[in-house]
Amino acid sequence: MAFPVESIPDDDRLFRNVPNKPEDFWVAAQNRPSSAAFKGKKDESDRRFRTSVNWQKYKTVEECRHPKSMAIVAVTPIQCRSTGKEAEHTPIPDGQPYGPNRAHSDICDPYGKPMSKNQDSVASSKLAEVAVVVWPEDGKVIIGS
Amino acid sequence: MSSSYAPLQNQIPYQLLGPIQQQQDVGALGQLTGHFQQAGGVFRQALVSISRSYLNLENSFSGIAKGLSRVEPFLILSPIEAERLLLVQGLERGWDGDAAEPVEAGSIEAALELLRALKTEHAAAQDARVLPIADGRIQLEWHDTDRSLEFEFTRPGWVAIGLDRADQNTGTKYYTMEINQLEASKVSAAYDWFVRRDPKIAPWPSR
Repeated sequence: MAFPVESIPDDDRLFRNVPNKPEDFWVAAQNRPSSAAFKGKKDESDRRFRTSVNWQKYKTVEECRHPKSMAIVAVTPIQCRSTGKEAEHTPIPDGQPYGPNRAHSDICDPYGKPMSKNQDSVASSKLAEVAVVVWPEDGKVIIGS
Repeated sequence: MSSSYAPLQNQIPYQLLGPIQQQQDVGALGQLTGHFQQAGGVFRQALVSISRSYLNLENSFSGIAKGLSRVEPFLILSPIEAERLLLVQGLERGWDGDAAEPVEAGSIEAALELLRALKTEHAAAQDARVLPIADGRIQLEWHDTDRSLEFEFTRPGWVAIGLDRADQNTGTKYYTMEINQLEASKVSAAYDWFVRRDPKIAPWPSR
């Protein structure tokens, strides 16, 4: 079953998993994830880097958690744009790897405007700085948990 | 010498030992046994594992940092750094709970090369934090409360990024530098900036 692609409202939350290994994914001195947590893969079809997130409209924080999660953090489309990135709804239909996932979305370079290496690194750092911890609920990340 | 270390003796790369150890001849290698016993099995495995690819000429570093040669003493990995590299090297596909790729051997080798370049001028540099990236690359980081230094491997070069949060009125300042050919002087300058060895140092244009 294919899901319709929707526009994500500016202030909706996009959930990103912070892996629990290695524990260096959490920068305790600054209480934020490493920028590496926001670095994804290059899509060779359009040369854009894509970082997978889940849109709050179709997945809860609880549904985003798994045994390899140290934390779940959230950013918004408007925050993505402030870094030069965009947020796109990219649902995964049933029968495809990691599908079905109607919540699946990507933080990616603007269409037709792949970012330079420098720009991409800075964008990832900015996202890591503005990301808000939504799990654990008290915001106190247990390193390596 | 303990016989249990005989196989290891032939595999320890001298490049991974500290300067004091490098000055000892092969016959004195047995004196190091206690050192490795203290460091624990994980460190031994790290040394052996990393050394396999490092010592293989076909897989050796493709680009030697300018100003260095293969015969100079270099690269002192601390036990913590070796353990971190080993952990990252051993991550399997899906390590992020999603579709992340295993870290490529070339990424590990590049990280070793960068650490070697750093430690030629900063032998006592803080332990690097070692992060995998979902597409098989690697990132090295250092942080304190208001500064961060990150090196992201971009195949075959690096992007260095410095974050300065010292002035809350202006927000975070970002400094970036693309390093196509690894040069020890660039790595050292970036680290100098991070540790404020010279407050005038600002190796990158502000963004």
